[in-house]
Amino acid sequence: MKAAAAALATMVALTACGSAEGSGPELGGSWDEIVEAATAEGAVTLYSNHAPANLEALKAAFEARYPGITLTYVRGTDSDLIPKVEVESRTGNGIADVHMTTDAGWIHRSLDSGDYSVEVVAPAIDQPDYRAADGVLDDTFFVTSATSIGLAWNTTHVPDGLRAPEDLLDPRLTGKVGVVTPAGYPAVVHIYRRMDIDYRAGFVDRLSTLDPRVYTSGPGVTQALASGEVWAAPGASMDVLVERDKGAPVDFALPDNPIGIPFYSHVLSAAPSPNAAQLLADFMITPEGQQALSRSYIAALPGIPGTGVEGSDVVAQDLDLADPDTLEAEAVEQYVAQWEQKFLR
Amino acid sequence: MTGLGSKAIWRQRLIYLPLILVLGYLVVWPLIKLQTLAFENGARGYRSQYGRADILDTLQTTAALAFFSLVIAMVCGTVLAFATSRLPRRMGFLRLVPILPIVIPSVANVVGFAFLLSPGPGYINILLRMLPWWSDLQSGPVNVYSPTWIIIITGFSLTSFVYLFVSAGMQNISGEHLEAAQISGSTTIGTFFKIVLPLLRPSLIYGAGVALLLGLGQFTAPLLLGQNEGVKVLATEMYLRASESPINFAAAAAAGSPLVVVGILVVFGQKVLLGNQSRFVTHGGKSFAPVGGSSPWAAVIVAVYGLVALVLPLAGVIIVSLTPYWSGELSWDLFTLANYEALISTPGIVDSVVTSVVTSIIAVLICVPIGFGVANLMVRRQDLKILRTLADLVTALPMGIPAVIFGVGFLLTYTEPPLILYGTKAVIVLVYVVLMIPFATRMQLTALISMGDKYEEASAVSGAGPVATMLRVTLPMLRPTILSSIALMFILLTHEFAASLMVRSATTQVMGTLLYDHWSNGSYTLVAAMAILMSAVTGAGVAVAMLVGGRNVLEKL
Repeated sequence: MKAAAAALATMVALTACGSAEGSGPELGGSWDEIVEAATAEGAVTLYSNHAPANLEALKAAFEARYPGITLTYVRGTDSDLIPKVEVESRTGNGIADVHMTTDAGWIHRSLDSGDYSVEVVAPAIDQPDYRAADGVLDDTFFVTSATSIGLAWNTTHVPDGLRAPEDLLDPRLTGKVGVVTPAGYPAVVHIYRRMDIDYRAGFVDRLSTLDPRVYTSGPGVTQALASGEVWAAPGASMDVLVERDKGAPVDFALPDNPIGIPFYSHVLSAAPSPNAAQLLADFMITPEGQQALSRSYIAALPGIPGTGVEGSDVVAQDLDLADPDTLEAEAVEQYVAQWEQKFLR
Repeated sequence: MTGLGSKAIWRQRLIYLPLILVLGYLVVWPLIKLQTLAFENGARGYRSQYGRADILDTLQTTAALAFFSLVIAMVCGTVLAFATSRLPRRMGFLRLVPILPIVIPSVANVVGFAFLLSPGPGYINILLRMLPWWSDLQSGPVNVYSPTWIIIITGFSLTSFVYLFVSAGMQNISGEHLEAAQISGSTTIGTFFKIVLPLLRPSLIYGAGVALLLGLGQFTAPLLLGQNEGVKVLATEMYLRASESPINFAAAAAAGSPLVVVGILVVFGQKVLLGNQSRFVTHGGKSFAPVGGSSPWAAVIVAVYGLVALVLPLAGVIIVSLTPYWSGELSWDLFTLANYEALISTPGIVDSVVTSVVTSIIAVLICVPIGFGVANLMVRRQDLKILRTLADLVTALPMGIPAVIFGVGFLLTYTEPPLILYGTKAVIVLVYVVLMIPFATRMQLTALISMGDKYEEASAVSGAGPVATMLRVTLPMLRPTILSSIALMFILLTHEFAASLMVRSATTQVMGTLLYDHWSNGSYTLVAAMAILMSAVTGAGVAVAMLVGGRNVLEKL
């Protein structure tokens, strides 16, 4: 029974370690105090649905700039991460310090409730280049990056590439198109709705007749394109360019009316490292942070090498957040049900 | 009853009551909380889940997956059990083959099949398309994401469990029966159908019950493969409802209800069918005669199963783990060890291995004494009828109820006061303890029953007290069983996926859940390397168990 007693003692210790609550660290008064306190905290955690390669680059850049602080990022879809943010806020057992999302509906519900975020005090927001008036919502959510949704293809199987959304509706691509499920993913619901407006009315219905293969995330579609499991994708994110640069047989093109999706971040009220959270928020919108986070994406600052759309000076602040009224939970659920009837017959 | 006897009984009750209360809190309370929530606000949870347009499809798919995978598992498991009993002597090592798929994590096994049978770049599909009659196909002919293949893969994974039950039953068939059949001129196949199968009926019923429950609660294959084509089962619906925003615990609970009901029915059914378990005392001095005869065909059957269920998916995983990106076009210059190097550098992977091993070991260490206590209560305390019945039911429940239900139940229970354990390793340990209680209890219970009470009586006659008897007689005799149960529990826990997926947090991950996250993010090559890592960790655990418990520790499962 000694073993059992030892095990129980260990478990109690684990419980105690894991559920430590109460007097957490306070946010410093001045920025210098915040930086000092952040170094003492020594760790910061980011929940994000951005491209894994870019998050890894952000980690490397942040830790190089602040050697005393470890950045842990957790990459997941909005449907993975938002419930975690909610549970952490409800239980007070915060794990994430900063959360990045593209879910316009949730961003507005969160702003209304005021439960999840604290004011972001990062000095970088006040730089004129950042255009805070266009990129910050209620002093909490701040735009950190953006992507344009475009056409992607496997260069082995579609050597001539795709130029317009119409090219993707070719019957020879039946069973060879990869799409992302909108279930639990309001930003994707927005993308499908925009396809019917920006590409052509009835585009989504016609797409469904190609018997597309369904994936749970944008990176999943990108990897499926690289493997040849699917040959083309209409709603691909710009992370295809990251994979192309690594040598995968994929390519990407923006149609005439590209659909833009901004990524917004906020510092969480349940953050276990509130000072390091502010420091990370600040770093993400510095030129250094943007070069890492927005590589092959649209940056939140102008003139960042390796970011943006060729031939355009668009920045993330130029892309509108989807209308939150169209992304209420019930409306999303209804759209998903209709979509599943078409795509998962 | 004398006053003294009554006092002794009350003392025993006071010893066992806290154990039953703790088990009841761990096992039953999360289920009650889920059901209470599902029925709140005019059964809002049931209306939400069973008002969905696709619910009939979901129910049909769940039933079809359970039934057809059960059929596959029963046929393969029984044939394999018969075949391993007829292996030529020098092929005896093949006896381990049907058990080995349990050692390979189901997550790894499923992704292995995906790498082989994905309609486009699946390696086997590419080979099949080289055949003249499929040469015009651009994809397929097999679609691993279809319900049919999800059923087949699930059937293979359940085969090992059926095999364990049936082979155990087969070893108890006296060779005299078979000799008599052979003398009467019966062929091997005739003997199998006329003698072996009827005698195996109890093992088959028990194995079928377990496989049916595992099939009904099947989670890994439908989640990893089914989302691609919209294949939904109740277990994956529970996961989706409990991981959407806002979290709909009530609908998740309602989704799991049919599984709970069937689980309870099967557990009760098995109790009724098995009746008084003391009938199965087998230590009587007579030795068992193994099923006689040997056949090279038996070796072929076992080897083919090993190739299909074990070697091929593992080969698929190994190939993908050695390439920079998953592609059907392989060449020698593509091969790289970068994915294995990434296991060290990718955040969270090393931590997930440590968390898996530590939480599994702690849970096993908690389970063994609990299992011993409950087994003792069941076998040695015939006078504590109510406590025995309660202990029997509570420890059997986790076997009948899918792990994902306990996962959701624990997530709900421990994200609310008074005990908020969200994001801690403690909640993983607790759910692991619950999942393993049936194994810890049943294996020690069976060993205690088969020991009978003669050894303890002899010890008592020789003047030893109950504690001395337990330490010097009972525990040493149970040592092989305890080691086997530790090996089995460690294997099952380092693979655990369904419950872990619910109770993990973003930074407290076990190997299976982190692997799933990378699968969802499309990091297939890293997933492959992680699958190999998971298998290696489990293999190391089995190797330690073999060192301590002897080489045949797996066969005792």
